[in-house]
Amino acid sequence: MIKKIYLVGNPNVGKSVIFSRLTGVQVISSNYPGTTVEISRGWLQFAEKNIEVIDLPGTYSLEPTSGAEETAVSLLAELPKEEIAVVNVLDSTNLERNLSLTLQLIEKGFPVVVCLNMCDDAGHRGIHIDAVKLSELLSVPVISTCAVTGSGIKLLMSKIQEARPVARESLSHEARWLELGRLIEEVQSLEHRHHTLRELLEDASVRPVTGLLMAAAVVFASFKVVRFIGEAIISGITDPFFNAIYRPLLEKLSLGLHEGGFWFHLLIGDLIGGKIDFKQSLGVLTTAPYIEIGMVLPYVIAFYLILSLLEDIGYLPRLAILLDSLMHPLGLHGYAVIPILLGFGCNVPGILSTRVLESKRERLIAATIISIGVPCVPLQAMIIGLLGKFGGWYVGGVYLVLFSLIIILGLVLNRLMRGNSPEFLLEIPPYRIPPASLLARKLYFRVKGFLLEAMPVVLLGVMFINVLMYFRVFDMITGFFAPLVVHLFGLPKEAIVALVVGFLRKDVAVGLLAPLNLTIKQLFTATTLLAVSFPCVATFFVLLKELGLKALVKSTLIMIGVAVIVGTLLNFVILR
Amino acid sequence: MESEKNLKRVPLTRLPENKKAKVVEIAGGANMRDKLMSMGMNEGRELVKLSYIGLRGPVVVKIGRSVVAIGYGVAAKITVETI
Repeated sequence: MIKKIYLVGNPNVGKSVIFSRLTGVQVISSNYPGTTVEISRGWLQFAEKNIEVIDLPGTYSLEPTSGAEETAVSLLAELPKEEIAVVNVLDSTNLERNLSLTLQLIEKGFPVVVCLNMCDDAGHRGIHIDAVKLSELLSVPVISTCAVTGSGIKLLMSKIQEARPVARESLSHEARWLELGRLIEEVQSLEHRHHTLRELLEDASVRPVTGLLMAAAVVFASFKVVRFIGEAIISGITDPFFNAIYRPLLEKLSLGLHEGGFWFHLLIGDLIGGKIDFKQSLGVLTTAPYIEIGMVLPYVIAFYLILSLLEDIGYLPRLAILLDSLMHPLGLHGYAVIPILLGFGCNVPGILSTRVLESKRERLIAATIISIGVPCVPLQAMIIGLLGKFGGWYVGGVYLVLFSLIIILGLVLNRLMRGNSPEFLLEIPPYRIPPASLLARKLYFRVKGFLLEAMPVVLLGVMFINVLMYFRVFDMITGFFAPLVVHLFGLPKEAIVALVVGFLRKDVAVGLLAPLNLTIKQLFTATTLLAVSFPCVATFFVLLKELGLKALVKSTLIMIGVAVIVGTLLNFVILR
Repeated sequence: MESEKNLKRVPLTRLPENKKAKVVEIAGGANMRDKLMSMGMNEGRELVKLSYIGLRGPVVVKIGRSVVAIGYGVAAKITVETI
């Protein structure tokens, strides 16, 4: 009786897409090895019973060589072999290497169903696989699927119960490769194809000159497009909504409240020049929704659209190759580019994906760099929103400070921490054109995740701040920190509230700076400080979970130290 | 004869681009060896070097149908023989 179904396969063969198809549970899938760093579990309706389906991280062999592979192999040993079914997902365009794991699974006595995924892509490349013949040779069910469109999934479901262990001699590594060669001869036929444009682009992107030119173009275009889409959403959708529809509603509501009273203060906030100012009023119903939906959300949508596109096309591993040698002095190798890029969206998934890095040392360096030097989209949106009107130089200035910090921190940590960084070894996926439906689902999933996470914190946070301000509790805290902030950083003591709130969410904190009438120098210092200081509460917990308490304390001390140094330097040296 | 043979054997880092070669030896740690082998790179296997990024960056090779980027340090420990 099957109790659990495991999805097993090499990295980047589409296990997560199959998983989503089988269970209806949406998980993030991309076109690069190591997207799945957490084990996803879901349920499949099967012979009138619910069976658990588990999506394992990719593994090249059953003799694990990395942390993620170890997890995969140990989970497979959880239950006796009679009680599980293994769906072995293969990339049809690379049968030879993928089949090595299949043979190992069969040899070890696992009940296997082979799923030849990406069969449409194989067809495009002139690769034809005789699934029936392969099934005969292996004595296990073999099904061709294309998970992205859903074809073959029904058949796969029906074949899962036919998975049985079969007797097969255990082979040595060398003998297995010879055996593979024989199998491939019999089941695969290749059509000769001329080099396609796609292959030319694949080649050009990993060569020094053309690769760097392409990388520069991709990065530049991404920045431009994110800003363009973000601004278009703001001026075309969210601002008209807030001004034409939402404002009249609020004005009606505010008539029923007594200005200066507790509820007015809490919900509407302060009137600026007799009117509601969405950026400065600081009410639960005014500034809180405006920051998240009117200022941050448009950029979240734009950023994840572009990131998802780059992920699914398969460009990111190529960027990792190009940047590898530049990352070595920081104690990292090229693949750290992926967690760092994800960190630009939100630090939490960025830090989670440092799991693709092998050593604890690399992970600590990467996680610290991300939480100090990588501004998330909400923070960036606020920096642009607040500093942008003073000119691009100030916005650029914040990025320059953060970028320098990444370099300095990496160099210092690499010197101070013991151990070497492991070598780079990465399979580069082919370019794929993602179907729009898949992109749309992924974008929806990420944007929904952002709203669910951010909105409650922002609403409760602003409510909390307003209650504290109303009862003047902040006066005590500001009194205590005032000497530091006023003398070292040159900021008014009201800015302390924003710095403290930065622990909750950075976007709200930057929002709190808006009504303070700061000079451009103070605004620049305060936003930079917010960017480099303590991570927000969500990042803090993920750091704790991923690195453990000791490393978290280390990393936190570094952050506080860095914030004090940067604030002081900006005030006394750089911005004088 | 001997010298000619030596000329044909080079570390992967020194193999010219777009050249086909056969893996003769993989030196270095057992873990790295296992990893390379499970990705399809074992002794006797043919590969084509696609590119070297420069600045001690990775070497990109094509083995079978996979394209693999190999860190400079590892690539230096892989000896290949030109075909």
